[in-house]
Amino acid sequence: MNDLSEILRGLENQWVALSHDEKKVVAAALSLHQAKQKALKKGERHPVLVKVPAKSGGYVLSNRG
Amino acid sequence: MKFDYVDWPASPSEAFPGRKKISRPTIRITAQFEKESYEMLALLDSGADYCLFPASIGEELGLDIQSGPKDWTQGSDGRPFQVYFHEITLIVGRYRINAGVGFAEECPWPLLGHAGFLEQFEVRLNFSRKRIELKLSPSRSRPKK
Repeated sequence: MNDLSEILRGLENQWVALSHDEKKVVAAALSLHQAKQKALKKGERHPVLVKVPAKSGGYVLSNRG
Repeated sequence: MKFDYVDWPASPSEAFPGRKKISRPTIRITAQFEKESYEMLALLDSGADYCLFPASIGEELGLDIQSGPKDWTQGSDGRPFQVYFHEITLIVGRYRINAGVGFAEECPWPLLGHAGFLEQFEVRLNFSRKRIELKLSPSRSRPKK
């Protein structure tokens, strides 16, 4: 099981750069570009990017995001 | 290839008062176009007709989003929105596949739908064990070089 529920809590609606092993949050930003750049500056050369859903509820695609 | 489901944060609600997290069939992929690539988590979405990514991912890959062939799609609320298609490379585990991916401002996160992705695999989702199994269809793709 890959449980990201605690480390991503509070980061809703942000792009998050995880460490390559997906164990910790390296950086977070409103844009994908910013999240990656922040991670690179912190020395994480191979971040894994995730977009955290805006609402911490159920998800089905709608154009409200 | 086997993957674990990913647990995402969730909040309790009237309908789900004990909810703290939600398990979703999410896998790690690399999206690549020419020399740009991004490693990310993407949702396997058997309800999606095709792959759909946020426009920002395409822009970061260097794509001119609106230059691609256009389609209309709609989400669960029924409102249509425009999608622009581009062929990119998706790397999953040991494999790389070429996929036509739709990009849209309205798409909140990367979705791996039927055309472009699921059609290239045999997929097994085992929610009780929180396991995902992907097996390349024999006629598809080739090992990553």
